[in-house]
Amino acid sequence: MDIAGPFAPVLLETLSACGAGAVLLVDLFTPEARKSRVGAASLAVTAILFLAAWFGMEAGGETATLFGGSLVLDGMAVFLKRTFATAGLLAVLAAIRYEDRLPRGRGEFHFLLLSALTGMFLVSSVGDLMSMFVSLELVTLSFFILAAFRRERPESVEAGLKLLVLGSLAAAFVLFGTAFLYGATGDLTFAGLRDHLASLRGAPPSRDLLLGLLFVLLGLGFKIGMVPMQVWVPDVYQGAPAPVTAFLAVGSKAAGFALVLRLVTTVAGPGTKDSLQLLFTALAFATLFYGNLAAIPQTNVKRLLGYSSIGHCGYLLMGLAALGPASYYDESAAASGAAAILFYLLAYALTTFGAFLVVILFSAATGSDEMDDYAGLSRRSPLLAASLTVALLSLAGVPPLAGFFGKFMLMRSVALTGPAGFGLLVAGAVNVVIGLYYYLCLVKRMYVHPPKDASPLPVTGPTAALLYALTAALLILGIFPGAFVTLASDAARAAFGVGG
Amino acid sequence: MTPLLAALPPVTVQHYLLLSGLLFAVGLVGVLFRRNIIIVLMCLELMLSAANLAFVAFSRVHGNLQGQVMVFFSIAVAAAEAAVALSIIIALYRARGGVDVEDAAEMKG
Amino acid sequence: MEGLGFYGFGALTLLGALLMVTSRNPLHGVLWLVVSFLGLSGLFGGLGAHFLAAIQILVYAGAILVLFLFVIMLLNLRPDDVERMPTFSLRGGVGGFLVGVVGFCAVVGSVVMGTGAFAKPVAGLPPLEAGAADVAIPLFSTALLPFEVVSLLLLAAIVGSVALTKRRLP
Repeated sequence: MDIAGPFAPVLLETLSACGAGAVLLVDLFTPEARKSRVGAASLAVTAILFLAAWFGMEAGGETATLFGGSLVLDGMAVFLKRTFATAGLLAVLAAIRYEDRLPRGRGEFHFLLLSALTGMFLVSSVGDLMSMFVSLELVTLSFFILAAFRRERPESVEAGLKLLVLGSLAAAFVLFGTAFLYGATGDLTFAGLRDHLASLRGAPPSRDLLLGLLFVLLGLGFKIGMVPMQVWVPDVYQGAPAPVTAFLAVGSKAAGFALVLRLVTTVAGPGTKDSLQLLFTALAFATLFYGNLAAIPQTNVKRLLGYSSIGHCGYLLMGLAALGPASYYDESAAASGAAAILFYLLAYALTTFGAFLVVILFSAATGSDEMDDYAGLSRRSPLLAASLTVALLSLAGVPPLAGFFGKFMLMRSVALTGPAGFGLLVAGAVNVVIGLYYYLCLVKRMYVHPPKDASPLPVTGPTAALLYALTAALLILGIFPGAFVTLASDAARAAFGVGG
Repeated sequence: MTPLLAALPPVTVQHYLLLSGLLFAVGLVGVLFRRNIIIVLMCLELMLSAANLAFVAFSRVHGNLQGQVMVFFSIAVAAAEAAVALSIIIALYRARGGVDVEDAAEMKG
Repeated sequence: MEGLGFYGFGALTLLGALLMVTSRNPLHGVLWLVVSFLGLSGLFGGLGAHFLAAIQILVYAGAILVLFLFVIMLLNLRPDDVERMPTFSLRGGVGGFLVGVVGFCAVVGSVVMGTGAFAKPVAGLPPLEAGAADVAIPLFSTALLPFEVVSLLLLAAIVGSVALTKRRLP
């Protein structure tokens, strides 16, 4: 069903921007005693966005453009928008469970969640580098403030400041790289970049173009938490309010990968794929091992999830490494890599929120994020322990959960590239084992160790329903991934120009 | 002064680009090596400005105004970033309750 | 004349930037950055970007840097106070500083020098004069979407700054 006609490309952006404004107005006209209405308004906005994204947009339709090509709605954009809409809904649901701990300014908090979401929708369908830069900045700027939002806690404000310094550094890299891309092509659109590369007829592009590309990729590397630009991740994940951490983990990573994919599908061609493949293979290696090895000694759950998210960035980079060396170059391998990334991001969004929801509820009840305090959680609240276990196993990639199928698709796309991908496959498998080790350490604490404090942790009805729903979603996505995989691979094939 | 200038090679677009790269490098190194947060923020502004100079120089080469429009946006983004950065600094000072708090390295590992 | 403009304003920009990075007192740093941005504005003028030259002074020197001064004075920051702020600093002293600048410039420089397209003298390029009206046309036609997004970005920045700094109420 297509409810927006020619305005489909801006439907979600317009709705969420207007919704953000509406939330501010609701906050303004609500008396102090009834502030929970603000969260309800925000929830209504994201629920509408969720429905509009999943049921109001044509996935396999024609590529639509608006604003003279500044905004492009293709299959990849639709898939990403659905992921973002899901993440936005879950972020607001998580934020409502966190609201008592916000000092004041619930309206502002929800406004910024929605403005970050608007930026993510824009990022998934930008068609030129100007829109790319400003949309990316809309996402990051909203997150600077959200991370620092618990301004009475120094570690939250510090998290905001660290995110800000490195986020702005990333912005400067993206801008400098964009300048060199503009210098090489004389144009700021992705179409212009593609035409410029096509006009080279397979010859390697000029060095200034490669420099620009490298700078933009390095800048985007900050957003996705790629080694060597991952330094902000653990501190910010630990210090930021938990709903923000979850939204940042999903949103920043998916937004970064949306742009990397957009850029790579634009520039991948006979003249560039060798260097791109080498670059992404090296980055995937470094990111996988750094994230997973550094996660082992952690004692704080949010920090552990921070390091593990660096590891997940490594898995996602494997999908980009599937661009394939020249001799084995096969568009279908590249397209399957992109499809795997799209599917993995959706699975990662659900899994991350599943884990963070438990972290939020646990710290609301006990005031702690330390792993030692999770000891004996299964006896204090079987539901919380079971939900966290399912989420952690999905992160680790245990069948039949969503995370397993995502990893399977990524590994398969690397295998398609032939012998060149062998090393990366082994690295991926080794890291799955390392990941399983530290996730199971936490699971063991919850089920085997005796609790320090045996008081039960009650879970209210709606919260329990949400936990059940997320767990069910992880199982469904893992057991019946067919429909989602078809959507993702159609989108990726269209983006790489592979027929059928 | 004038004979000295006449002896120099004519100013090319490369000169502007090199200056832009130099400014970017100075800013980058400042971000990495300085501990004073105000200076770090100014270095970030300097890096954005260096990119702006490259945009304007490339705009001159290509004879179109897209690069200059981009600079316009970049200045707007820089202004927004500076405002948020400074309000975070104010919040940090308030959260620490003054300036005599020792280095708050509460997160390690 | 062209050469005088470039070398004069270029030296001013670079000198301001270097003195800003090395200044101990952030207050002096802000003033050196003003000098640097005035030089940058002159460079923009030399490249025909008259509108941006004006914006550079109005927004950067006039608004952003005044905001920096305002915060330094509001918090009554002395040089030693800010040194304790948490950032990610490497320790390398002057040596690391020089290695960083030289290494980075070597990479960018080799790329810039290796591309013949940019070796043309600026004076020989077709004239490009960009006043307010010339920049406004693309701004409201081809770049309409980013323009709208920037307005949203500024709104988010305003809301966020207020939320982070407004006086604590009961």
